Amino acid sequence: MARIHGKRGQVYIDATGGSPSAPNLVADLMTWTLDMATERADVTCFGDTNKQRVSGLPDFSGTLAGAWNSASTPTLFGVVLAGEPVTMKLIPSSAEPTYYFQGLANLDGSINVNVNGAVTIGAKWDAGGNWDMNP
Amino acid sequence: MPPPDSSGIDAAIVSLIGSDVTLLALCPNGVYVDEAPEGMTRFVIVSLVDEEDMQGFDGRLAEDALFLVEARMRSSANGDIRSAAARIDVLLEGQNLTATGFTTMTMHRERRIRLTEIDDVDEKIRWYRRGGHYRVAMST
Repeated sequence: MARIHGKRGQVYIDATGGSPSAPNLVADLMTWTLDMATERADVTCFGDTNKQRVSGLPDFSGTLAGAWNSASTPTLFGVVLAGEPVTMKLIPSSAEPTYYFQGLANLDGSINVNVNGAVTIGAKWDAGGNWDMNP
Repeated sequence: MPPPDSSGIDAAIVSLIGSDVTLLALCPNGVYVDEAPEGMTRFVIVSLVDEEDMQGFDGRLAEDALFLVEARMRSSANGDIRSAAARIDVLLEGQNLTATGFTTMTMHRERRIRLTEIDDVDEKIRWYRRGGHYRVAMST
């Protein structure tokens, strides 16, 4: 076990949302993020000397980003436009493929075209089902 | 799979402008990377100024390079530096570059260069330099 670099990150998607899933590697991606912020409910009462909160459920949401490639991006955007939740598997490093996050995700897509740079794409996702961290 | 040979991009630029008969008529000494041999008086220089790779999870996605491409002429050579620079621009601006393993994303000039230098050895000699910095972005 060691600290790892992000260059071997991977994103797999099963567009059918199947379980067990048969995800395909998404090419031409550069970053993925996963935010596990937990909802908090304010339970501050009279007499308390500071605000107090209790935790609810963790949210699972995040982003993907990459470069436009006509060989791969239309497939990803096709999944986005289908509007159906997909099974997504996020791997921090392909050198340790047994460590990953997986669950059902709703995907939104975006594209950024700039006269001074490469055409890039992005996607936002949030949980469309239960998510797990493995192991 | 290993990424394609990056030097192939440099070679493709040299090949593209070095095979143009119009430019060679203006710069008969040819096209060189970084420096020309001693004694040359009308030639073209290609130099890599800056380069940045776009890295993806599945390897290198693209190479974004800035090349200096300019005609150089000694004052006594009576060359047509203006036409040489214009021809370089015709050959590079908005064109596709053929390099094994790469696809052209863009090739365009970012800034123009026009300089006159005094020769280091003989102060009576002037060197005219004209061309530009060309952005060459190639997808792998």
